[in-house]
Amino acid sequence: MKNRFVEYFIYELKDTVRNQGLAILLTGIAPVILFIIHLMFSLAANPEFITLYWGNYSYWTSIYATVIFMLFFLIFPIARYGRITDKRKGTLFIQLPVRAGEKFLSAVLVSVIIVPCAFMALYFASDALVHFAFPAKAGSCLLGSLSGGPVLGIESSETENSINVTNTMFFLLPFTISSAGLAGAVMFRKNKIFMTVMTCAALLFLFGWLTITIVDDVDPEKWRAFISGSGVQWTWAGIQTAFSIICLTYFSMRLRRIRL
Amino acid sequence: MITIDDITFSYGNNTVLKNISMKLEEGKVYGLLGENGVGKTTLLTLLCGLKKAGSGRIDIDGYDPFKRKPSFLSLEYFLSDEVAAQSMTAEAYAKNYGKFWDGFELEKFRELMGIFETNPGQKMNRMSFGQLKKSYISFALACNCKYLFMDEPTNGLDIPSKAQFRKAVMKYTAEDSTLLISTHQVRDLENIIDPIIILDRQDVLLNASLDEISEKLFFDYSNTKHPEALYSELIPGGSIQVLLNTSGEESKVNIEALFNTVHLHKELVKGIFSK
Repeated sequence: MKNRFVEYFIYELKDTVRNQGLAILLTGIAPVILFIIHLMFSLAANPEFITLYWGNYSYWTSIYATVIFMLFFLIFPIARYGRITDKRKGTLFIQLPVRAGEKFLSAVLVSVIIVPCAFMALYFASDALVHFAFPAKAGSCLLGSLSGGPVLGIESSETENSINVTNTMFFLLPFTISSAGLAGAVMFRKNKIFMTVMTCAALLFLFGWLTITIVDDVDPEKWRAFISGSGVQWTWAGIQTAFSIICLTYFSMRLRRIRL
Repeated sequence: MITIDDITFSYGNNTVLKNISMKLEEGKVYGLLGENGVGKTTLLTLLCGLKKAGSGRIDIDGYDPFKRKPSFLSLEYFLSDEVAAQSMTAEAYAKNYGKFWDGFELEKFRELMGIFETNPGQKMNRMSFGQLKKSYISFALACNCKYLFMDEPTNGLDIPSKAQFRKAVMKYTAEDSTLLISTHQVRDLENIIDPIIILDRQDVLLNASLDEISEKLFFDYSNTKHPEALYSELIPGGSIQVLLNTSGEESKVNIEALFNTVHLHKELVKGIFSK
């Protein structure tokens, strides 16, 4: 007898490839597309400034990657599971004779782990391909830039009291943002992407405000000791994990209790 | 066996179903009739677990539908009035989704699509609404579910398809299957629905088989005028009058006339059928 979860999970993967596969592929090869666009614009640029033009390319690829990654991780779960609250498409999803817990697990595996990982692999590979093919123009690739920093950590500066959260995002942020996307997919009935982005922005603003308020009240010596140790790394990782757990718990509860 | 016990359901402050109770037996094709907004679709969605009743209890073979246990979900199928156009062929849809229902038969799906003269190899998002509806009806029947809930299944079907639908329901429904079909198009289903349930705002006006109806009401198709008729209507070639059946004579139940009679004499009809 076939395992129901395995059968459902395979069906979910196939359905994801069928319905969102092209979008994942096109977004994943964005570095190639962006390079071509950049190249086309460079043809119109003044030859005197061409070195300067390509000199900033690596900087722009990091900006593009940050924006594309954030939007992809947030939008993909909504595109994939936003249908659940739709009367026509949601009826089919809810009626499938599979346990709500199995549907939840499959949704988490697909949209929080497998697709983000596949997307990142595709993105980094196509970025590396561009940099390998045009090393003179494209400079160092994203993976190369990343490998210079800590794998899971927060660079801190004791003198400036500042935190640079560069590389942590590549390990925990996809999981956190995708979890927020899943929660947004079932939280709002209409304008799901806009509402989710706005809610995340509001939460981020609230978090920033709270952090500043707390830091203001903390003794500067203690604060310096805190950010120079590993505690700050684990605090930041803990906040992201807690946020993900809250989002996924909400998604799970909505999945069980949703009414169409 | 479906037992609906004193259920109430509201959309905000708007109470749609109030203290509704009824029992639906196995192996019957129930016709669920009622005016717009009386809660026919709501009742169907409650039965298939898409909604939860505000109060009261629904029991289907020992299951609470809203718990949505897989063993319950594989027993039932709800065919909504609004159907989604998938970006795949009807056959691929049937293969992909059908495997989750224990009793699903792909061959039966193909046969049903044949009866409906619809190409299973056609992409669903390129089908007309009627073709899409026929694909979903074929899928619903091919699932071989014990309980099948259909909301306005003949909406959007052309004239030959309505006859094909009747044929498909009669031929491809198992003897112990219970169908609950909500419809306004009573003529499309006149020969297949029995018993008839007539819902009113917050009340069940009638839940009776055609035999019981014909035992208690007489449908006179002659041109003789009956002043005591509960309802009369001119029809092409004569008239139809509904009277209390005092003679015990049998007559063919006209569902439209029955519906209008029940709505004109709610308390009287409820009284007659509650005895």
